[in-house]
Amino acid sequence: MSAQMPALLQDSGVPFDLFIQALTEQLDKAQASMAIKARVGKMPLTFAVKDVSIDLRVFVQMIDDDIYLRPAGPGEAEASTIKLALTTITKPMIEENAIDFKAEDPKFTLKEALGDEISDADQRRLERIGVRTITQLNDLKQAAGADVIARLSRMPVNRLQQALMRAAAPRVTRVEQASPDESSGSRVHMRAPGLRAGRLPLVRAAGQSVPVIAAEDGQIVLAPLATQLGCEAEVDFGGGEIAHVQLSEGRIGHWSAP
Amino acid sequence: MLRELSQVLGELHDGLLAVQARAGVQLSNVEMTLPLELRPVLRDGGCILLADLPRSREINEWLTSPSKLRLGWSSAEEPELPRNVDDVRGGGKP
Repeated sequence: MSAQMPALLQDSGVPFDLFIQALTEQLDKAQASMAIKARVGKMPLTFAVKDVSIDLRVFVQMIDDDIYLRPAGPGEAEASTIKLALTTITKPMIEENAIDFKAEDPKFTLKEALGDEISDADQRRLERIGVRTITQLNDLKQAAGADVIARLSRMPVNRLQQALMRAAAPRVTRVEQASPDESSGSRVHMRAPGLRAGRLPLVRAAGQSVPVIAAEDGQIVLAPLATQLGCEAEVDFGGGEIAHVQLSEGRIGHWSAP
Repeated sequence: MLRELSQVLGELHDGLLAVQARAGVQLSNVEMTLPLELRPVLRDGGCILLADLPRSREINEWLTSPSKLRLGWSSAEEPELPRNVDDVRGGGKP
């Protein structure tokens, strides 16, 4: 019978949350597949899974504050039973809880923003707790702290700190070109989670300072000269925190080595 | 051989569609209670739930009490003309 046991199933089983996640992924996959079948086969979607409940025969273990489940195998009669019931989530419930994906530019997804500094596995870990963009990562850091993120995502603290540091670098969200009649100059809008409250950053580009016309709530608006647009700017947030970012739309900055 | 749970659900769905097509009826609600072999495996950096219905319905010393899957299916659209079959209960005892 041992030949039927998948090699990668740990002796202690899998964490409960991972199990629930795997179950919901399978249900989502099944629903998606049914919808595709209905569309391709041009038949009405006459059935959808409405309620699912599972009586799991498992062995339960606590390891480092985590609950692990291992399904009972043949000949194992003393297993516990866990009853799971999942029901339909209605459209209003989804809309109420859904993340507003439009609010964040796709250029600032975790992968785009952090590049090689985040592995696929770490990205998946963050996505599992609902973090898909660097804005969400920064917001969660402010609301809950790095320790909580590390614990929930199961991401090693040092790698998370590196990702948080990278995510806090300024990035150019929008560039407004000067009007043709030159009645209004160019504006560069930056998101800067590293911005300190009550402190105006010093910005320099092409050997000259760049006027900062607004700096609050993690947002900076610059009024660069036409010759400074597209150049790399140095943003000094104070306290030795200096970042460099190109003054072009969608560019993500990086911190200077101390 | 265990498969992904979504595949099992997909086949059950196909079965319901086949029942409708063969019998010429519109099912409105279906409840199933099925014995289930379940195995979460760690693969590709994630956890995948493999499952299938046991090949044998016999309860024996090897599989004394399998896990159970209860599924409630409902029609996504109200049938235009009500038919004489409103409720089908399947599976039942492992």
